[in-house]
Amino acid sequence: MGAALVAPAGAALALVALGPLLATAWLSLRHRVPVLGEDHFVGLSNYRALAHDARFLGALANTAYFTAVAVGLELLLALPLALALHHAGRGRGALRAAVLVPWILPTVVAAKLWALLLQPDLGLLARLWPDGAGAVLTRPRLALHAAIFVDVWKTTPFVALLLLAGLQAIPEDLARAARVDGASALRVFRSITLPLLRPALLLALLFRSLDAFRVFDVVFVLTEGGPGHTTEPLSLYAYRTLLRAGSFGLGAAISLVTFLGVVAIGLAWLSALGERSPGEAPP
Amino acid sequence: MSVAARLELESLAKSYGAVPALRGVSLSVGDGELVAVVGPSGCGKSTLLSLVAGLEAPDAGVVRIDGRVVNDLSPRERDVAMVFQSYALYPHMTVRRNLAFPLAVAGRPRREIAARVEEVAALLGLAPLLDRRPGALSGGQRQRVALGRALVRRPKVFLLDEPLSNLDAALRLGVRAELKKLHERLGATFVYVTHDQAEAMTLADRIAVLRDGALEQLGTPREIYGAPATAFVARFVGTPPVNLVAPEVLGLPAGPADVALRPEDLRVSRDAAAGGLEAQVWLVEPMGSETWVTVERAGARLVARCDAGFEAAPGAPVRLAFDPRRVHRFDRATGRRVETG
Repeated sequence: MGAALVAPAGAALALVALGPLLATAWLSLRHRVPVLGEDHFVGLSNYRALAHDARFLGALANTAYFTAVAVGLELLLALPLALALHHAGRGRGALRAAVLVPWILPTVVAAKLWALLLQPDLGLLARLWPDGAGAVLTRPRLALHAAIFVDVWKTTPFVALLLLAGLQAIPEDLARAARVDGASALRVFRSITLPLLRPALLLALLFRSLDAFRVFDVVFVLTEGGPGHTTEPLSLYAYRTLLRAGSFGLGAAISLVTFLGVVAIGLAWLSALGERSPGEAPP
Repeated sequence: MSVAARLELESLAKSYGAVPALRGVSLSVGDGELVAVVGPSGCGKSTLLSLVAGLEAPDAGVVRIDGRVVNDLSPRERDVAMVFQSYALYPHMTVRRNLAFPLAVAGRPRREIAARVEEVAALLGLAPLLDRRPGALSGGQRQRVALGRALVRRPKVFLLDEPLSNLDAALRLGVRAELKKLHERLGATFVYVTHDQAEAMTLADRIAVLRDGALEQLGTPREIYGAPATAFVARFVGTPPVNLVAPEVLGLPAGPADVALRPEDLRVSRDAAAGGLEAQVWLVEPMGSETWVTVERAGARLVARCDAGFEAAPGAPVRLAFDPRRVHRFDRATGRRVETG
């Protein structure tokens, strides 16, 4: 009976998720370039090619670096922000709404905004440092960090709100009890708040690292992956290989590697979340 | 195992915005005394505890512990322990770590912490539960852990905020008795906040009745029950509640004061020849050991505690009698007690 009830949802999932996934996997085993009329089975040779493709390895490194640094910074900045919002007395509602403004902007708009500010000739930064020091988007290492900055600017409020929800789920009496028990504010945070915030922290990590690993729009609008391919993430490389170069088999292989990366991250955080969370009773 | 302390509150006042929660309450609790603070919800009794614990600062007034003003001391420096209505057990810690927390925070040596946790666990019968988390405990067990966490520090003053209100009725009576024995054994100073007048009557050495943030009366349970200072106190204490009516209802001369008569002081007789005031039965509630009888007279309803064997149909005529010396009088305008020569 249970299986029968789940069947429709299972069928829908298979249709919209599993089907395309298997089709992509099958495509990644072929050499297929429609404009040239080429289409034949090549086994794992697309994957072998990727293993020696400097641009692919660069994109993988860019994506991993972007994910680690952006998500790390977002959590580090969002936690104090969430605590401030949680303890803000008057005007808490207005403050919360104001904080969300960057997140409400469509990513493309936010990225374009910053692209204009950082524009090497006419942007604000270029005017402040006319000697060229402000032209961050033309310099490989700086350009990736500019993309990270925009992502952090845009997404920190969302992470802060997630953590705020977590903070509000912690009964106030616990902190009061800990203070009467003699704990300093710092000790209350370390021994009570932080351990009880763990599920919310892990959830934020899960959401954000999955999103960040698939980053496309921020980089596409800000740098188009340049200069050179120095800021190109996996999804942008996959998009270009598939739709610009028209190499469907190789593009599918890149997509599948990206997918596996996302699955690995998701499973890692989910297993951490699944560990007995603090409030739960032992089995 | 505790060193008792004297707690003095002087003209304590606290407002939240424009809403006054406490309006100048003075109260002193002696060494080893248990004072119950009672009143309806919103009367300021929880605010009072927060001010004593140092969780909030008073707008005016002084809190003194053993003669020392503690207004500017943080909770940790005041050496008070508190049991919360919600118990406030740390859900991510085992019972053992919950009990050890106040000592760990104070930086006590590991060996001393272990010994004192064992001691308190033995006292409260928590030994088999030490490695469980609060989520795996029953309500009564959680309540004992909360109590244990307060005891383990051997504080000068214990503050208890409605500690029994989350227990079911059957458990509450047992724990109430345990608490009373525990207080006798510790000889510590307790401030016990409750909205349940029966709890206050049974546990307390003295009762402070709060109303709208002001102290209505402070006295022993006997004084509070036998000589209530105001009509509010008279009505608040006692089950079933006191009969507070215009004097004419009891056949007394009219005047500026209302009269109050405890249900046990009102006698109901089915014998028409018995004499006394005429009334009709309105409701009969058998309680097992006694029967509560509500009668109607002159448009008012009066409750009497009668023998278990009392039986009557609604509407049946009865006669009422009482000893006039048992009647309390309260000024109708001020609610204050009026002593009659």
